[in-house]
Amino acid sequence: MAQVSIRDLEKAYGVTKVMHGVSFDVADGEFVALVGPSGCGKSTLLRMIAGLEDISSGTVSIAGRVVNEVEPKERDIAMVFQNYALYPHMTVRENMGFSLKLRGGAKADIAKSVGVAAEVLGLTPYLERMPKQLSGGQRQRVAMGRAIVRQPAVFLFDEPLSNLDAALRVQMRAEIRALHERLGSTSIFVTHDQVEAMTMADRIVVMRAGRLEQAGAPLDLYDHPENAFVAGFIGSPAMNLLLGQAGGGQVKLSDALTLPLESAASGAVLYGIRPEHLELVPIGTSGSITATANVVESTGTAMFVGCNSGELTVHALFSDRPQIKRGDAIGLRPKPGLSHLFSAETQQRIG
Amino acid sequence: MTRTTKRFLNNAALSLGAAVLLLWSLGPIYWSLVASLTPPNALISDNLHLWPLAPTWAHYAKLFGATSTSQGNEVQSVWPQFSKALANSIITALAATLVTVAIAAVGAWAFVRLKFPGRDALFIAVVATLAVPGFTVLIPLYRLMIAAGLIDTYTGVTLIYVSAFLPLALWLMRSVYQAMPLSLEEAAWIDGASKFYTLLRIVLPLAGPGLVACAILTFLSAWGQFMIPLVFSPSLATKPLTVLIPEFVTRNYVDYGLMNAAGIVAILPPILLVLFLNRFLVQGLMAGASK
Repeated sequence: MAQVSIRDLEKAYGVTKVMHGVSFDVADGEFVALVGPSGCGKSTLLRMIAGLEDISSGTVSIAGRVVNEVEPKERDIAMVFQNYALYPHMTVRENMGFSLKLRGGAKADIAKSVGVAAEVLGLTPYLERMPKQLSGGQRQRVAMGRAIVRQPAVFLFDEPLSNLDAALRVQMRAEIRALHERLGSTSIFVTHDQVEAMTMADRIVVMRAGRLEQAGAPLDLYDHPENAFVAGFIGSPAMNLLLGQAGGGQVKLSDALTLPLESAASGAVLYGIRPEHLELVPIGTSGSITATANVVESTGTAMFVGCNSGELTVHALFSDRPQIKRGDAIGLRPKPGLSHLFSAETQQRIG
Repeated sequence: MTRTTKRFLNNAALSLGAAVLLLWSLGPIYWSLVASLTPPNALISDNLHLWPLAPTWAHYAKLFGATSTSQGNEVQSVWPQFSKALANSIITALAATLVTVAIAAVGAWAFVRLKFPGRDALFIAVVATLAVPGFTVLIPLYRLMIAAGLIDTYTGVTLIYVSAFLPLALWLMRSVYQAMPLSLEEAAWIDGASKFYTLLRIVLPLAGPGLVACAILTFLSAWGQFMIPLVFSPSLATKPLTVLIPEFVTRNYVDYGLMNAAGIVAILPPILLVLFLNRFLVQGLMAGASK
């Protein structure tokens, strides 16, 4: 087991710089999710940790040892690939035992380790099958089995759930997390799905365009996003971010709409309020937004309402099934103490 | 026109096209077979038959047999020459195939997966040699082979074949490797395999159909070569069937029957090889690698 340290990591392809000094730590036994939109460099970062991608500058350390120049196989890591990368001409047993065989393990030991891993993953009946005879979820498990069978110090997951259907994804999410608890290993999990990151990780590292935007516990990121990007990326449906002019304890969002502000900030700001932090109030209530509902979607557990207030678009989420129909005028009031304020210029949190 | 008649006409047109193609490719072979079974005097008669009136194994007997008689004269057996040339054909074609496939299997992988300066330029240069007509390099090549003492040797002929057929094989294998997911190799590296071991145990088994296609192409090309051995294989030491069979034309007699019998026999090894290798051209071997 090991901690992983990333220091000032940079990556350039020729003159094109794609990563601009990323630093963070993963504690021993921690489950960290790397999350961000596609092209943000999260997969590249993972591949640099794995040793599949050269490091332009900065260091990657695993268990206190700088591994920049260490071959992937010497890093004591295992990786689960997005497309699973199972060896198609080998049985499940051979796939899972391949790494042990390469290390010259005794046949009996390999069979035992594979047997244990297969038992954990429920793959015992499929050990003699070829990958093509398995379903997507089973292949996913084989890929995991191949990783756990040799008990590496660090597990790397590169969007392993993105090829599964929705129901299976939720199930595998729990399974991977349970496996992590059981093995107590250090895990780094790359995903573009913030729900996966929120539900699985001890800590989330949000990246954008080769930069680290914020790292922290899932609920910290949700409650205290440090900038407008994280605010908009974490949480579903996404936070309302409204451009406005702050001053004198108020924020003016449009000519007709001014909301009270708990902050003394002034100037151009982004006013953020999560859809679930808007409450339904009678039209005209002070400090409320009057809006017309034009999208009403109910999932049973929650009701999502998209509405317009003049030029502004505001999304709200209710869990108590209010009687709202398309075209209704409604009053929405931000719950006190739950709004966020970001500088419109720097996008950084100011209150 | 109803759908049924339309479909019938479509099918009829398709069948007709297939029939023309079949006739085009199998017709000469059939004619060769008929000629090899027709008695010598019937071969030069005015009215030819689609199937000989009195089929005879005489030409084959002459080919495989000891001495024979032709027009009343005793003729030396051609079997020693024929068998030597058959062996030469098989040896040079097999050697060229093995060397070409082995180099293409490793070289094409390097062209796809290894990063070195001038990689793509080098590859284009290699493939561009396909555009150079063989006969333009014949004379310089001949001088080169004399200097190297490789005229009329298996090594010499094999080297020329490899240089001629390798670019196509490299090209083919390169596209096979390009279609293969890199993550398979990366998974093997992380599992602890060296790059060469990965090539051997992961990449090559999956590239099987491509390798077989390369082998078939190269073998057939080498088997059918005429001009190269005509120049570089002057004696029976390395002379293949393609050069020997036309020599059955003598000053005052063309032994069509014997030539065709030899031709029919010469068709057999490539057919057997293709049938044998065809079993390895299994499709869908890659299924299940990913997703």
